[in-house]
Amino acid sequence: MTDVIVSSTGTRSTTKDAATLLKQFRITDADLDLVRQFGDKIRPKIDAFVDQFYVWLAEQPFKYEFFMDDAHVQEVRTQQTKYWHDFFDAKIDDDFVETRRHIGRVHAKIELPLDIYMAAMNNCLENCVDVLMADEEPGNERQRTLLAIAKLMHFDEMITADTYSQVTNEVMLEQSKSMIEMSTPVTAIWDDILMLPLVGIIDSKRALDITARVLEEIGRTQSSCFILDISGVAIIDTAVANYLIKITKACRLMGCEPLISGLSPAIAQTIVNLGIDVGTIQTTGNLREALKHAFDHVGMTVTEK
Amino acid sequence: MPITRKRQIIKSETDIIVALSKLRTMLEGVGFGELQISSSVTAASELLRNIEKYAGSGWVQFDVMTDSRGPYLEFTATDHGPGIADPEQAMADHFSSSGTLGLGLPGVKRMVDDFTLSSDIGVGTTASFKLWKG
Repeated sequence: MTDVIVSSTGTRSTTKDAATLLKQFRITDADLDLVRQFGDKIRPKIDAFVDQFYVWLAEQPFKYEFFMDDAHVQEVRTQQTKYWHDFFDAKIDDDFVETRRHIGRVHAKIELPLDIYMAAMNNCLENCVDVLMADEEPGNERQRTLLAIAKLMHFDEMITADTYSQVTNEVMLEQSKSMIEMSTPVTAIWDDILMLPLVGIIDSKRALDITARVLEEIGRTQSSCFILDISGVAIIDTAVANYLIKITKACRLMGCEPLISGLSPAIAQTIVNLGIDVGTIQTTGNLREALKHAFDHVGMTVTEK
Repeated sequence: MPITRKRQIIKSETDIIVALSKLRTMLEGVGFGELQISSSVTAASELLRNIEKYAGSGWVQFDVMTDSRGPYLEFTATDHGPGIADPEQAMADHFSSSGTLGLGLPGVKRMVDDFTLSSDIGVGTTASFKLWKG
């Protein structure tokens, strides 16, 4: 049972249910029983080793902002204690998986590095080994218990780290999206003349955004000429060409003359090879030519002083 | 013998952008001319956009190889999408099943050296081309 979820930002994550994950990590009911049995031995020690972890954390060279505030530290400590009680209860169902995802999300939101989370996991593992070594069970039994604990820890770590990276990716995508939005500066460079220098790669979302911005500016400024400079566009394939043609058509409908400038020789040849008919769109090799056309169109001449 | 090799899963527009930028860097690195780069990257873009649009996901692999004619790009894009009913028709100018320009595949064919398209309905599509540095 695997659902692939594609979020609106394009990240993809797999949300597997508890049963699938247990199978993937080859965690059997026998393993969970061993963890539970061992839980009875370690449970009285949880408070002590969680304390020990916070002593360690306080000694770290860089203090994480989140841990500056005592009330927060107390809250996080309570959460961590609960985390280990849940762990040794070893009742692995979808709710359990969800609590681990929640931890991943929270860690990512507060930008707490994963190494702190892993250090806490390690701290517990060390304590488990100490308890096991002092145990009177036969060696084989202890090894099986240790393996069961390790498997369940990897299970936990995977879910948390996976969720963590998912949230981080979403943040990064959001940032790049806002960068792209900022990079469509439609500017009035002269009375009646608008210009937009396009840079980078144009995808469908960006094309829609560009069209909307351009038309809005044309409406607002009542400009009669629009220069679209594409010298910074990396690829003009048929999809991008299609967008450009649509943008220019929409401009015309609003009574604004579109000019596309900055076609490099390679791009011009590629467009011809693709077989794209640019039709009546006015294009120029560089921005200077486009500007000349634009001045001409609005009835101005540039003269030397 | 491959000099370089890149392989990538394509499942979103972002993956396409990343793959294309890797391709451009690779070709610049082996000294392809601006027109060859533009043709290769544009052809790659057409094929990868098709994957994203029609199949949802797929993968791409590209290498720069060398034979008696010198270095060349070998590019393969594969998906397990619905497949193309009539590859020959899909290669004809102005044929489009989705209301676009209908120039993508025939355009790719014009721009690159050995374009092959094989498709099985319900199984998927593999498109590959070569382009010599020239």
